[in-house]
Amino acid sequence: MMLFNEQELRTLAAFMDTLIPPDEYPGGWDDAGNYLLNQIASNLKDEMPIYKEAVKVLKIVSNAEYQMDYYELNEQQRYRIIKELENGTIASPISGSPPAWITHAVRHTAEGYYANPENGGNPETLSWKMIGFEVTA
Amino acid sequence: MIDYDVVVVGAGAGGGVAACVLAEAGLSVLLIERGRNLSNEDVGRDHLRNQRISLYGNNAGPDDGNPRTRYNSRGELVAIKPWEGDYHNNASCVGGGTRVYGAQAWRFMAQDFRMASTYGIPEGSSLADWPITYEDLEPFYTQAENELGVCGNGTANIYQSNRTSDYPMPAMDPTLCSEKLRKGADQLGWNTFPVPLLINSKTYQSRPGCVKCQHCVGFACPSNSKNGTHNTVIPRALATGLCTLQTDSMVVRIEVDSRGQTNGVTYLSNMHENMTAVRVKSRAVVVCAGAIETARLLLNSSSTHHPNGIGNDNDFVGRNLQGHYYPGSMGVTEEPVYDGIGPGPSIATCQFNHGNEGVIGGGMLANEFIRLPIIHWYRAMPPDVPRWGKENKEWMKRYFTRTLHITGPVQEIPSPEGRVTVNTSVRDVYGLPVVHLSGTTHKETVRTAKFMWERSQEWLKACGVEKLWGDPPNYLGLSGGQHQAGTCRMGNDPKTSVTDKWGRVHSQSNLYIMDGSVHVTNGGFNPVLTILALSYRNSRALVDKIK
Repeated sequence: MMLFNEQELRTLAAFMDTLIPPDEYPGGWDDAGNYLLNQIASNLKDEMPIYKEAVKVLKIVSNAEYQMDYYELNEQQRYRIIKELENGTIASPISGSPPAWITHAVRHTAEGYYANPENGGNPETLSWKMIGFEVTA
Repeated sequence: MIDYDVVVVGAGAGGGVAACVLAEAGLSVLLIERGRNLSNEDVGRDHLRNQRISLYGNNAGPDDGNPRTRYNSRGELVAIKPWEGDYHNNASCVGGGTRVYGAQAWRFMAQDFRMASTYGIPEGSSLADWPITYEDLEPFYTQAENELGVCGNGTANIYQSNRTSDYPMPAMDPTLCSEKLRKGADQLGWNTFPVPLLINSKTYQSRPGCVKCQHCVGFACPSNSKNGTHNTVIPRALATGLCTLQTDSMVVRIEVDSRGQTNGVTYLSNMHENMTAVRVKSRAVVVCAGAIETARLLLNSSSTHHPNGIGNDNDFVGRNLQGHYYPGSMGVTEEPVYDGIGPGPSIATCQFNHGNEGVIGGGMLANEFIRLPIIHWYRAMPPDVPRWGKENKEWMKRYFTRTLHITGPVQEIPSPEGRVTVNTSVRDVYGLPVVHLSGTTHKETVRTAKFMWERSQEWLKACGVEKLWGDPPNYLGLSGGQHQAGTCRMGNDPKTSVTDKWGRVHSQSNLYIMDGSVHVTNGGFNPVLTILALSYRNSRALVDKIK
């Protein structure tokens, strides 16, 4: 069963890449997207509604602000929307609490990004190489 | 007819030593362990499920199906899973906590056994002296250090109480981090020394020296150089041919005879396969299930002779639960201080364990274990660094290798209201009443913790950190966790203690407790070496009594 449709996935990817932006090292989606989807299908089943809420809110807000979908925005525009949803400058267009789902998504993205690859994220321990954590034995 | 001379409940620190001493003395022993004999592969290296950070599960037990309860801040009864913080888990496997611990090997100091005499008794606290002194325990600290294997420098800590011999292995080498911290402490005039560890710094007892990996605390040792009971005293006990290790089996009841005296246990055998209830008779029972589960077992062993639980005639079983507050500070440096050399704790001071103006007791301070990257992200970022976005990523990139963390266990001032009871309305998967946790430590603990937090700030400032953070402890909470202690304290007066000075339950001629439960106070140190030493002492006394 698909957890998200294609458009929702593209929004989720853009959201995770805003939480951990790509640079010479991967962004949140490339490094932790697989982890998050695994988790939503297992340990974090109960959190599916907040991710559905997140992609819905991001779609509505980005269309209202920029007349584009969230995944079509540039880096600064994406950042601004998350920041302003987080601090309340932009109110949620639907019921729910953006600061709550942002907090959850931030944590889950970091877990996928920095935990061991067996959890589904951090391929080739790229984040560990990035920060200088080397496993010697 | 008896089945065994002694049943030992729990194969952790205390139980492992007890089984070894008893079996090597020629007694037949049944060592019952709720968890399994975990391989290194079983323990694994999951960064989200380990004894250090357990977001979605744990790696050393217990399994789900064994909840504990507490009331939350809204007054609602909540069931807690073993990997949630409020559970106060240690571990459930052969070796217990020693299978995956960080292996700091601290002796308590002489004053730690005489807290009430040294400081007086704060109103509302149950602070008391131990019925034994440091000198009584010293030979057994030495025995534990030699038989399990401890590395350290026996002369460098000028505040330690008298030692009759040096550690059996030299200390680990300094690290980049410890060198930085030593310079800061030198400027302050503080005495520092290498952290004593239950880890081989060289080949010892045919097992190799530490390979200095990055997954020490919370995980199994890849080179079998970390000394727990699973790879030292329990194999010795089994080698006698007199000790039977029964894993995946949980004691549900201490049984008594027609006079109300302990004569064995009932346990659930092979819980994950063909579970059966087994009644065994023995001449003595030694309970070593950890301060929380030991109290639960005593309370769940009620009978006509002991309507409130065995050993609980004076409503003392389960009270005075204590662990440690861990105040600390973090700071960052211009140059890297991370060299990747595990296990991490490599410098400590006992400058502030006692003699601090205006507070009761104190604690040891040391540098922290190597942090897993996700632990660093969760717990070692300054509060003013954004939790997401480019700045967060840049901080991880630059400062993972430049972060200093000083922390240490603060001696708690116990309260009788910080306690373990059993909740008969909530049952585990086997139908047994579960642990209910309630109360807090005494408020004096918070004052001491604040004092120690200030010292951690002072140390890092002296190291010239660019940025310094870490909140002062200002909450009143319940401690337990891996340092859980105090719930069946020893003492001379049966009205205010559960066991005598040998760990024998006052009302029983042959029921003993040999884990952190009997600690009257818990020192400003990791308690495992004291648990091991007490078990050596009291197991020997049990042998002398029944042999």
